[in-house]
Amino acid sequence: MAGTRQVATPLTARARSFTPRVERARLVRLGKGLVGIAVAIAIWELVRAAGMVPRDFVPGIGSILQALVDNLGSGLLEALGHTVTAWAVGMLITVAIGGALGVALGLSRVADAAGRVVVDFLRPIPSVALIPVAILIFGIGLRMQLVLIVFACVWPVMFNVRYGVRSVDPLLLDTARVAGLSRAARIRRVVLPWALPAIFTGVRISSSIALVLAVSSEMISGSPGLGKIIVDADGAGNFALAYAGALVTGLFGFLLNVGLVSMDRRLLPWSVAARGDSA
Amino acid sequence: MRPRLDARKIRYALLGWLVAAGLLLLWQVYAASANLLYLSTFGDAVDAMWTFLTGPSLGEDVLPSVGRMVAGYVIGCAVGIAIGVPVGYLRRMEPWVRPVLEFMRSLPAPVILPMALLLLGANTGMKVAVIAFGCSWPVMLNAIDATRAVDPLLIDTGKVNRLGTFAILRRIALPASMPQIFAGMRTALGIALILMVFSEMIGASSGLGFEILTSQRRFLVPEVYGGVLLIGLIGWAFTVLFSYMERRVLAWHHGRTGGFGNGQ
Repeated sequence: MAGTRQVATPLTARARSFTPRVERARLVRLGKGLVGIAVAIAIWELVRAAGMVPRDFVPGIGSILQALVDNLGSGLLEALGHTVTAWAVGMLITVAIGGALGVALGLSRVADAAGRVVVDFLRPIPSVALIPVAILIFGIGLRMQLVLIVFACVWPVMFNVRYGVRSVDPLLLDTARVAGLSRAARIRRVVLPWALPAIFTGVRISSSIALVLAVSSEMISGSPGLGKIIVDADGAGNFALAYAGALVTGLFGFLLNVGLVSMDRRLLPWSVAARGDSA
Repeated sequence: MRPRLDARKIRYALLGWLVAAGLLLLWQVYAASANLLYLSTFGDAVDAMWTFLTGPSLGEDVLPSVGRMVAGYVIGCAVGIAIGVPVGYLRRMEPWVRPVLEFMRSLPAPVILPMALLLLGANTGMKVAVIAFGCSWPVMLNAIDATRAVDPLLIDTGKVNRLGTFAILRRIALPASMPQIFAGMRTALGIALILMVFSEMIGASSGLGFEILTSQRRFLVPEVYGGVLLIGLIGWAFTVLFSYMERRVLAWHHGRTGGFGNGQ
């Protein structure tokens, strides 16, 4: 698979001409996945039926789905909206800040050296530990959540952008310079497209961290959202609703992952995720 | 050439430390002069951290926290590898289990804490279990992907040499997958730290997470910052330790870049 970049377009074109076969393979794969899910649900029910877990605490799939449908209009959707808003706005800010920092660190050795120690010490702080600090400074609400999300998620984006920028072929940069492109134009038209797959990897990693923080900050601070629903329902003994909230959270995370990976594959056919799947 | 390069390296390193020191100084001076309710000075935070480390808190909060994290992390990684490598090796199994595993990975692990609390109670085992649960998925999925991508020639060589399935898994598939498994374990380390703190914030009566959250609720501001500093320090120490171990375990891999890793 050397020179994946050049091969990508003809390959995609060829894949399209074989659409029926590709479609069938995808359907079979989907079918197998659905069977797997059915088996997982069956195991869940069996474990309950066999009395391996206290049945009152672990509701059946039926009552979880029932709780999900019943509460969709009365709180669950609204909570999902809160959580998704925190996630989305947080990610936007993260990408803007992480992208800018990453480009700066990737292009300037001095900036990279200046930030090294600070970053090395800030990055390993598990952001959940900052929830109390964020509550202290910003109070309870969206602003506190955004600060937490951005703090935790900015590192993967920043490091991947920096890595992507560093890996730009110098020949391309020289060509652009000879062609008379200004520094800004070189960044926008050579560096960024080249670094895009790496940037995307950073965004993918960050997006799941952002969800963890959105939910856990809701669980601890009581800001409205899925995390609060889960904790409240759990406290009130409404376990079906608590599990329904967890299910919605997991589904949102799942769709995010799947969506981002397929976007990666479609928009950036030369990137790692696309190559990983072709095996 | 060499001495000049080294001099530049030293200058860069110095610059990094200088910036860090400057920021800390700024924190100290700003916090001391602004006298804000919610911001302690750096000095007070370090004092509070020192108290955590030298007082009774060391045995009651700090060491148990770290112990639970290490136990959960090790168990989670072991489970992830023990399931991931065989599943990746039996290539046909992957499409059946993939969506379920991806869902479990996508589920933010803190979400399961209230349920675990209910089922297992507010004890050490529950916290270790939650940490292990969160850590196992990234390791497992990386192990699956890596084992699937192992060069078939290596596997066939094993078969020709009459290795049993278990021997092939342990002596060929596992070592060849190790680089990518380590990538998963790096992700898992971050998750373990998050879950260590989080599991102590909900339904706990000790631990670093518990200490900083109660300090915040009681407005013991320096303790909040000191606790965060200490947790950051622990995270940093584990990151350094992890990189060291990765370098040692994968020394063979770095020595032959372009060998196994090339096909992926």
